[in-house]
Amino acid sequence: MNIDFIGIVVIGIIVTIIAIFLKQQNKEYALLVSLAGGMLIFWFIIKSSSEVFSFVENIIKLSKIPDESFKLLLKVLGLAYITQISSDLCKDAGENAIASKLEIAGKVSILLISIPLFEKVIKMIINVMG
Amino acid sequence: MKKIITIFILFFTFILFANNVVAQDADTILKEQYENSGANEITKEIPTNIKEDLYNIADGQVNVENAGQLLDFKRVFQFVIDKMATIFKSEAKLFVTVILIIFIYLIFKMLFGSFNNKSFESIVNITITICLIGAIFNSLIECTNSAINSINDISTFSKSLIPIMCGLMVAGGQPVSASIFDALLFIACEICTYISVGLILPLVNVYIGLIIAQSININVKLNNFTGFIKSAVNWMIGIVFTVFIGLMSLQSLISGAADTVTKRTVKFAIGSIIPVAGGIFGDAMETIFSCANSVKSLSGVFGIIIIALIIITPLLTIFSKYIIFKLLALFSELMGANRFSSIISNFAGAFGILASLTLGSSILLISSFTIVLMSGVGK
Repeated sequence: MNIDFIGIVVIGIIVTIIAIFLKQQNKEYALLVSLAGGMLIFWFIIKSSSEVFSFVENIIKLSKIPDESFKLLLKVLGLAYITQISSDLCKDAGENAIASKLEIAGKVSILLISIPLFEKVIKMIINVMG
Repeated sequence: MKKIITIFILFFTFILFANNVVAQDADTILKEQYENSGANEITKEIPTNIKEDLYNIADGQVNVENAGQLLDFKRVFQFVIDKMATIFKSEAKLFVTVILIIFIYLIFKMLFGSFNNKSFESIVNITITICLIGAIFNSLIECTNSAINSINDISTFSKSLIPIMCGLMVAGGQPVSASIFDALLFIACEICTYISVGLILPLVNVYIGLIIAQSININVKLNNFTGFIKSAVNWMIGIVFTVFIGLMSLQSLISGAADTVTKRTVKFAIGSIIPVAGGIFGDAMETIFSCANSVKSLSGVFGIIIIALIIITPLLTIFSKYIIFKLLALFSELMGANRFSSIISNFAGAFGILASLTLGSSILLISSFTIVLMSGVGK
């Protein structure tokens, strides 16, 4: 695993200090800085977690789980992270109402993605019991 | 003195000669009865895969006359051990697959653990559970089909054994018992067919459906339902077994008494009606009855061994899978995947139900044939 954890921590602390200073003079700039910092940290995480995903992919290949299930899990994971980060940003900006709406949007999107999965379960139950 | 010596010599010569004749006759009668009763034809009714197992145990000598060789403890024990090893080897793949699925679940659980929202995690739970059920499902269906086929096989084999056994009973001087057991053994076979077609398949299907439903909502508790089905099946088998075996035992007592009376009446009639040679005819009849009973015993033992062999492979498979699933449930509980622990445990419960039904139906047939065999002993 080659995660630049120290780099991420340094970026986090610097962004926080800058945001605190900027908050006193201009709240909008502080928000932009924290947004940029958040994106940078997220990019670092994505970059480092590729090894994690290839490891999981190998285990999935070994266990012979269908690819579609793995893809679905990754999609849900990605959506969940994006929803969480954007919702937290909105909360930081004091927009709690928008944050909760973003969470609802995230849940609906996940539900839409997983509809085929629920259909599969229902078909499975009908096939077994029929 | 000379006269007395001559009489003694003649008397002993007669006894010696008569014994040889009786011994030779008994062998001939035995061989004729093996051929005419169709006892040697039983081997043709054995399913092909069971024939291979039989050749392995008996070192290639498979016929009713050598039934005693099949009861060698060492060979039977070795056979069971070899079967278990083969089954465990074939199930190792499933074991590894389930463990890998649990690992994947734990990794995703860790990745989703940082979110405050539980709904994200539930999708992961459902997806992984479906993958798990997909991996286990085929194994359970395979096992169910194997159990159903085996019960049908023992039922078919027993149906082919009934006329032979009843024919030998009539030849052995048990006509009343033969007429009663003919119907009772047929009912036992029908009960087995009903268990396999009318009970196992619907029960297992409903059970799997409920397990899948539980995968969506973990709050659906199947433990009580599993317990209910298990106890219902056990009670049902227990009641059927007790009533049926009780009925057969009572019938064997009544019909046995009737047969003894018939046999003695016939012997008395022959002895009284036929002048001079009546006693000899009576003894010859007794020899024929004994030979028929001997052929019946060997055929019955052979039949019981075949029934046991037909049922042993699926039973060992079910038993092995039950152990494997219990181990997997334990493993997932140790790893903190309690959700999977309960699902795998419920699947193990399905194997428990299968084992009860398979064992129950085979014991019903084995006990019925044992009662039939015991009915002629010592009369």
